[in-house]
Amino acid sequence: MIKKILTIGLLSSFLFGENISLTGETLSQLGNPYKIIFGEKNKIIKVYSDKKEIKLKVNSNFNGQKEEFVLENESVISVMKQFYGEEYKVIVDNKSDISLNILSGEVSLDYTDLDNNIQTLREIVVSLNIEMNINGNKINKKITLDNTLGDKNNSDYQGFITNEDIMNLKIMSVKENVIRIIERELFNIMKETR
Amino acid sequence: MNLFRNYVLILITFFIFSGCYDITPEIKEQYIEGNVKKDLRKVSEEVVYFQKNDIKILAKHPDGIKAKPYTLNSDIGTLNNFVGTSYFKQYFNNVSYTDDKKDKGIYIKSYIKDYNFVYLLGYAIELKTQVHIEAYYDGQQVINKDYVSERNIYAMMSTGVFGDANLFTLFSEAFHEAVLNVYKNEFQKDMLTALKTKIPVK
Repeated sequence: MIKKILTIGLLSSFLFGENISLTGETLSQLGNPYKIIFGEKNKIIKVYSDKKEIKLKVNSNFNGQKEEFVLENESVISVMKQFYGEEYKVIVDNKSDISLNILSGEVSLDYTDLDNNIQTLREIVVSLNIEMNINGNKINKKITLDNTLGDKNNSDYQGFITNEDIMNLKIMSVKENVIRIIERELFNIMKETR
Repeated sequence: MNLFRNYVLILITFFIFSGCYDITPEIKEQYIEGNVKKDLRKVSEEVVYFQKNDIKILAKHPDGIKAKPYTLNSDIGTLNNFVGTSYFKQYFNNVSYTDDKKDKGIYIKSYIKDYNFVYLLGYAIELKTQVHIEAYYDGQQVINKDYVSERNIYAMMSTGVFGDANLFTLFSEAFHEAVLNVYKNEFQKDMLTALKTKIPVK
């Protein structure tokens, strides 16, 4: 009996929703860490994100993948803190200067058969519908980004699949990759609207 | 006459089997531009002085039978100047070369100590680079350390365009990235810690 319960629990955790919480760690590598040390911050900014869960449907060409990720929208605040923290003293407040919310989204996973019928994850794409409110001006935007994060478009070995393409996309790190992509998407929209 | 003929044959054999192909790896922005950040808000309050390396060619034979006949003449001085200043220009508005030690702002004295690389079968290379960096802030030494960076690329042909990729463009790009990785990963971590804690990293 216990074995059955454990098996069902294990299967359901693998196949069904898994919670995603953003940390802003990706942005610490994107921003200017020297600015935090040397830059002067006299200005204050108030930020906010609603407390709600957003279901991101997973579309995959490989059976046995999770059906959805559940994103904690409130964790977007961590990303905003990291982004605006270089320039401002950031305060979390419902009456905010800037609010950023994810309304909906989906994740696409593309597997390819590289060798001996072993399915290898080739690409992850995350699409999000985002609503941003900057001092009363509401902006709605749909953004899409893949696991390359828009970087390294000028490589001389563009026509190749390299070890890094595959190593960064192991099945076990799908969640980490999705977080990385979402944080970069939020970074891009905050940079655009700054 | 026989002696002369044997002498010529020995010479020909020597040229065939000795390293007689000289390659000069290119140094160009394209190899790092995907890995350096643009449009960041930069620091204007401090100046970075980068001690300019002289041109220095370090010739190396790669390991691995495939590339044994080649000699790579890498200009490690120019490469370090280019990659080092590119790293700092991401974050600081004022980055300039210097020939003397500066006692104000950030002063960097660094050089590539060595590199080793292996060409494997197919399109695959393993590269190891050693960079020495000394950093000073307002005249005080905050870093004096050797850093090692490895950059391995194992590429296989995709269904897409074959492109211009060959062993030497892979090597050139890997060399740029290996040196940049020293600055942006290992050095940056130490530098930020040293600036925050005021404790030198050695």
